[in-house]
Amino acid sequence: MIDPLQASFKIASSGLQAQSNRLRVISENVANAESTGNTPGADPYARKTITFESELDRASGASLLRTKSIGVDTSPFRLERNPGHPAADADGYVKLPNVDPLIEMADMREANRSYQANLQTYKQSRELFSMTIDLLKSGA
Amino acid sequence: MAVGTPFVNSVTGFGSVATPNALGGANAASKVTEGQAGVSDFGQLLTQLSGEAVQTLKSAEQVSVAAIGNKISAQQAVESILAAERTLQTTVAVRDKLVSAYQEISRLSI
Repeated sequence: MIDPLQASFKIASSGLQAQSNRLRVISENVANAESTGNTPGADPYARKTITFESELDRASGASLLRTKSIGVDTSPFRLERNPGHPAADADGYVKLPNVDPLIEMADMREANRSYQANLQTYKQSRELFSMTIDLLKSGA
Repeated sequence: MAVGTPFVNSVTGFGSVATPNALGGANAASKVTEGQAGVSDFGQLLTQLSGEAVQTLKSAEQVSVAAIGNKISAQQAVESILAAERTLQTTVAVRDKLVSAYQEISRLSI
């Protein structure tokens, strides 16, 4: 695929895919913000992180975006005193996930904006492509 | 259609219809024939063009079915369908242009 416009469709679509994955990870974090373990002293849900990397598409020579890995945030868990909880340890403390809703919301907004930006490049390329093709029709 | 094949070459189907001698000699006609790559006449060119479009449309159809069954992401489905739309538009535009050129030639007053 040598046509730069066609390549930009592919690039934008890889961006969309990556941002969707990011949004998926964020929603997992938000949904599991209160997920604890079941046995005394057990670890709760650990916040997931997502990283991206650039990947060369050999067919078009374009740099696509790819999800590199979905990792786990190793920062310490929150502790809350709740002796009646099944996951409470000997001192009555329960480990809660290291998810900060504020960070997740900020991250979500960023994913949202990136998705929109990629969608915009897709839209623009599409418009230019069909305008170019329309040149053939106007003469008829 | 081979990239870089001039349109004129595709119209050499005319060579077999009109007598080459009347159109400036057999030499000119045979030279044009050498330049062809895979496309021997106008009808075949059109068939090839529509064949590719049909192929893209078929794959878009499969993708639509997969999208309804929640097997692929909506974004992938949209992308594939739009790609089919682009191919179809391009093919139709090019075909219209070729057909109108063909008609133009056939209307030539001798």
